[in-house]
Amino acid sequence: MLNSIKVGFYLAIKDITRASKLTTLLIVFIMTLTFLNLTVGRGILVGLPKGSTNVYDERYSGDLIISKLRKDSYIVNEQPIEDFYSKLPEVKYFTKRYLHSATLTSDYESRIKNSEVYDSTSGILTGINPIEENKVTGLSKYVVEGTYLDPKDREGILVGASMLFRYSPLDSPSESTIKNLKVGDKVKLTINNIDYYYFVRGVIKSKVSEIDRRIFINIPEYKLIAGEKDFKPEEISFIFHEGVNSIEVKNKFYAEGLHKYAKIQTALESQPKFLQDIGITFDILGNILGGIGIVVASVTVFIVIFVNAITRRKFIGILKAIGVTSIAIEVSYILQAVFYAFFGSLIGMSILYGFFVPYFDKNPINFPFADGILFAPYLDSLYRFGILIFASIISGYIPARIVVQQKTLDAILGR
Amino acid sequence: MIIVKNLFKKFINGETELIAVNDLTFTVETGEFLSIIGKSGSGKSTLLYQMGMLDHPTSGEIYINDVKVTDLYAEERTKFRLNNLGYVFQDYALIPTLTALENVSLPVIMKGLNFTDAYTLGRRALDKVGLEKKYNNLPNMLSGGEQQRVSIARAIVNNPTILFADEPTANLDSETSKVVLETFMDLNSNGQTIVMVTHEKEYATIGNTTIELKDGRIIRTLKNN
Repeated sequence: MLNSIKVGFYLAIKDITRASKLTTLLIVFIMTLTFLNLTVGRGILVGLPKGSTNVYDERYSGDLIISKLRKDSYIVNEQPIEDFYSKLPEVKYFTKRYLHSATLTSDYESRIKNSEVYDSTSGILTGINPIEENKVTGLSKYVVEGTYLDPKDREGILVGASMLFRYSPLDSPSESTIKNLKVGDKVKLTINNIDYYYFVRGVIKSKVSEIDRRIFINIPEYKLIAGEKDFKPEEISFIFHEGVNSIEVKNKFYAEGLHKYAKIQTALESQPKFLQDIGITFDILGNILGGIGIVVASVTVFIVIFVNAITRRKFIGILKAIGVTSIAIEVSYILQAVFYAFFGSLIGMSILYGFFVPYFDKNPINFPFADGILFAPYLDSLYRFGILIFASIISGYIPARIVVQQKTLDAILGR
Repeated sequence: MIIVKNLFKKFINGETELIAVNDLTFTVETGEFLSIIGKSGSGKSTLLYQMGMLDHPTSGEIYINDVKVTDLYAEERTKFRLNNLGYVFQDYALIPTLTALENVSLPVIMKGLNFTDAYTLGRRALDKVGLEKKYNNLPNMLSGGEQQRVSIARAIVNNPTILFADEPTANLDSETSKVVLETFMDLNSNGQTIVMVTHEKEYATIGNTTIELKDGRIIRTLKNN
């Protein structure tokens, strides 16, 4: 048995090294494409919801988010929470957000008849410290028109892109958008039935619905119009230092009993359920695609080895005639299949991590709800690498077995 | 020694039945050089394939060195061929991806010897057939005659009890054929049992015994001096 394997290795090495270089390159190239088909297609599909959850974490929740309890209008007892997190060494940055529902109207001066409807929409007025917010969510990066909010600006606001018709062309009774609004326009902001007037400094498009339907304003101005009585934050987002486990920090809050005053969630926990459901669905679709990819890969290897074995049927017959065992011949074909799959996958891995992943990281696919990335963790790719090798062993063995099982003389005489 | 008893080989093609080997019984002694001759379709190659264990007879028995080889299973037959038989085919049947030395050494490696020893024996076999300068040539770099001598070297490298040759000179010119046949005669003079099929009558007499086949039956047996 061992000697048969040794001879199998010997024949495989000679076959590979002495076969036509062009043929070998072509087969390896096919295997490279097969590997990429297995990883890239699925990676992009899974990368869509993954990109969506990534932008949610990066642009909204941070590593941990504390928000009001369902029964409250804001974080009622903020002080003990602030006392605690201000001493936490894990916290790198944090930002408080003060929220209040508001209505934004762009054409408040141009209405002629009372029957005309104002060009307006509702949104969440969000009081922020632009510097702190920017440290946590990088909000300034998502200004698509105009400029970011200056911390001293008391007359300016930022408007979320989903409130504007040109970014979100909705015209449904339940959700309206503003049709005519430009950067620099003076708009009416109605809060608690009182009208205030501000200039639009910029438009924010972050692809996170929680942000893109908000109107950002400096905290002092917010405090002025929302009233000092209920001046409490509704959200506090945190960024931790590198390597900090969010769950462990969350548990610290819980250990202090602070969850009685506010909802304390990691980024993952705070994600909307539909986002997680999309992730699961796309993962299933990705696995189905991957499964089809495996079958295609197996069939490819099978065809390659079968054609190889069929064209060398005569030589297989001769090998058997001179005393080379079936096992040795089968091993030689399996090893050739493994060689093609191994080097094809290796080149595929190099292309995947040397080109595709960095490319999609720099140039994400622009989807309305996410920046589509290529999701290809090393372990996942190695798993697919292993599957391809396994598939090639089976796909190499079966055709070799079929040909080896033929009668020796029939193989030699080609009948 | 080979003992052939009541050997039949039939081919069935649809409703047509062809008897290629028809109830043959004979013996090949150790050290004998048997030439099998006959016209095309006489059954000589079919007989060689049955004796050389490359094919199964329809009925009958073959004993090689007292082993009833017609009863052996496929893998046992492969092992038996490796240890006891050598083949020289009409079209040389060399493995194109192996050099002359590798082709010749392969049966030795298969027998379990290490590569160094196998290559030493391979070189010795190639030297014996006059190819000491062609060790590293691939088959496509060798002439027809050289390829056939590599094939002979491969057949004898394991010191087989019996050497089977199927029309070994059919693809060679007369000069080269002479060299190949001289190689066979040399081997036979050193005690090698040879069974050779040829359709060229002038080469048939180089062995000790010649049998002539017609329609699968022996029609003549000649003892040559």
